[in-house]
Amino acid sequence: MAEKKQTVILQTSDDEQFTVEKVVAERSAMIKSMMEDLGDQEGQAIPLPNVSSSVLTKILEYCDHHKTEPLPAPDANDADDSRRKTSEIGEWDSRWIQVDQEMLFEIILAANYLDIKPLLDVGCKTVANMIKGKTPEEIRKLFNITNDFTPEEEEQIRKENEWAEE
Amino acid sequence: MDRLDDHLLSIIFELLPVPDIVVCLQVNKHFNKLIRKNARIELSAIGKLHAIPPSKGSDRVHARDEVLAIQGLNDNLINLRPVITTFDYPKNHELYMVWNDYIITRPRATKDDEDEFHKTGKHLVCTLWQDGATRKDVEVPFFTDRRTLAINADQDVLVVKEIEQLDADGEEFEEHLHIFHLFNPTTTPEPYRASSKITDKRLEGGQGEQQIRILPNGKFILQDLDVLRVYDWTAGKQLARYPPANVGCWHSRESWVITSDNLLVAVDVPTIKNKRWQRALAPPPAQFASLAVFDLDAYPPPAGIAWTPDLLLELPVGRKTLPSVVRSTGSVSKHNDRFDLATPPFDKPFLLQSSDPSVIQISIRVQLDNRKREILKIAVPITGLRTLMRDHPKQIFKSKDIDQPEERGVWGNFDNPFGGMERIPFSQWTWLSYVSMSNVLNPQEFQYGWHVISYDLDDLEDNGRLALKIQDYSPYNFVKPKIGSGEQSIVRKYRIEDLTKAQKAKDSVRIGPWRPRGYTPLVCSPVPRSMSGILKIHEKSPSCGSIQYSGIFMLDRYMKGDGPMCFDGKRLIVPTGLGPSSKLRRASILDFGV
Repeated sequence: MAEKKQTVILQTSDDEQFTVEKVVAERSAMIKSMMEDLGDQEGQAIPLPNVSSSVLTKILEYCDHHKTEPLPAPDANDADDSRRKTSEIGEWDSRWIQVDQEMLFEIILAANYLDIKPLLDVGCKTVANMIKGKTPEEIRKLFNITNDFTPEEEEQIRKENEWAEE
Repeated sequence: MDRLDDHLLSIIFELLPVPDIVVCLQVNKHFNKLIRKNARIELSAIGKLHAIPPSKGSDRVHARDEVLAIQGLNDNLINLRPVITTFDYPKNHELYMVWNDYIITRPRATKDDEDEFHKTGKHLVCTLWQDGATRKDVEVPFFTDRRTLAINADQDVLVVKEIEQLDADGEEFEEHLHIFHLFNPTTTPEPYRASSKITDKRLEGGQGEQQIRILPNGKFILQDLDVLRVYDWTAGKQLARYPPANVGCWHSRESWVITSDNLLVAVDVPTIKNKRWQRALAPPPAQFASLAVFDLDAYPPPAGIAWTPDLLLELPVGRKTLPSVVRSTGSVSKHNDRFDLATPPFDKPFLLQSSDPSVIQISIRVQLDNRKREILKIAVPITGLRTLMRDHPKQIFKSKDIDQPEERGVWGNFDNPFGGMERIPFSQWTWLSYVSMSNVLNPQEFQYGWHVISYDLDDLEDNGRLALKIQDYSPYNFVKPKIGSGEQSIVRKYRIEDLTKAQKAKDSVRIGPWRPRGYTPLVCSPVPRSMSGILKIHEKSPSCGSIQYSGIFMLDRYMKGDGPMCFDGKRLIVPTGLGPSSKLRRASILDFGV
């Protein structure tokens, strides 16, 4: 009595449809709750207007790799602090997240929208690691940020925070 | 980067170490505003500040563990509210103490106890409740006075003292110290007789108040009148007796502490012969109090060498030093002429007791004017004491140098044990202490590592109001090592305005790590909360500081039962009345998660 793998259809912002195993799609708490709302309406596509097909392809790769892991508790907002604190990223995850900056931000935005907490952590940790050890100027250059401080303001902030410098 | 909204940026900032957060403050106005307005980032940053390693004076401080503990503490402060659970225990018991995951109750004293013992040959000393439910009775095969028992569930040890009367007149006693393990597989722990049963004939008469204290390093101390005896229960032997046999008394009574790196720190107040004071039946003014530090690892000293402290520090209780030290705390206005510190402190200085302190807190009660009494608090990190020991080598006294050469190992003399020893003036070690004033005259205090947790017991019992204060003396607040030069430089800059912002952290229910059966989180109300930064003592030598967190909890609706309550600074257990059946009592456990 081999059971047919249950699937779900996801429709991206550029109207591409993906047929995905339920266990993979359920990594996203948002999709999971939508599936529950939709009930048994087979063949009904779930629209993801904030996710493009290229980003979804990438994210499904992540979800597929992690599909056997237990899902984080839905109300674990505060409890996942400890998980978040450890700055290490898994080996597979760190290879998988080696993407250009544009894609990295897209992944973080999508992870937030789709409510995939571990993925959001991986993305944010990656950005945090990019910031670590850099000067303000290097950070501006890296993320193309304009410095809107006057030199006086900048000096003031620097002085205020001398205590934290090693 | 501008595609990420504030919520996502905040998550990223929270992941950064403090120096990088500071860098991000300087990137642009948006980053700066976002970091400054987010209390959570601030708290996270404050927590991470402690990651700056403690001074390199000692290799004995487990910096990493400290940091983890402190970070946990700061996180919980966001939600400084107790999680409330209930706990039922037998009606004939009363709450005794809380120890980590254990609540310990003991039978209420009844006349039947002794009869029961003679029938069964077993005496129930206490019951351990793990997770508020799993029960284990601890019985000993003799009848004992309750005051002489000490428990340390961490080390799986119970010390019970038994007094045996040797003659009919009650003049001679023999004392037996028994070590038991709490968690033996058998129902009743067997005495650890093989190596640790210690019998010591009493040298001091009387059955005065005694205290057994178990230390974190396999040792325990029996305090008996003015004498301290240190035992190693794993090796089953007595290690030290302070002062050495037959040469006088320890005048500090309860003011002593042993650190996990084996320093014995005690306040010494010599008895000053002063006829005027004797007439008034008042205690002698503590003008010459010192802090004596002994290195237990060096015990016993070589033959012919006197028993002297490794370090003797002057405490600022004299007529000259006390006024200037009190004024330096800023609690007395420069123009207050009524502030008369010609009056010496009205009580002996005392040390805060702790089983594993990272900092020594000395309290000196002073009278600011005719009405107002306050406590001057001096905190010294143990690493600092180690530094001083290195810089001030111990004075070696050969027996012939001492007043009474016939008594080898004498401490000066009976009234003034360290009379001949040179004390390090307060002005020379004040740079590594933190001095502050407290206006709660009789606070209940607990210490965990660098944190002193205090509240006013009267306020709690009378009004059901628990004003909890956490004084954080972490290494960062004391000294910061200067990178490169190897010398210590002094850092005192705090961002007070940022700390006060943190008090606006949003309310939410904390999910505690410890969830006994029947777990139902409730929120206690209303809970105003504040955090304040306290810093700089001496204008010219701002050596170190401390941060204070506080929360006020109205607990009156939980305070309806009778019997003693227990508080370990983290969890308060209050009897709330009858339990679900007539044989049970109910208590509420309020877990503050600090």
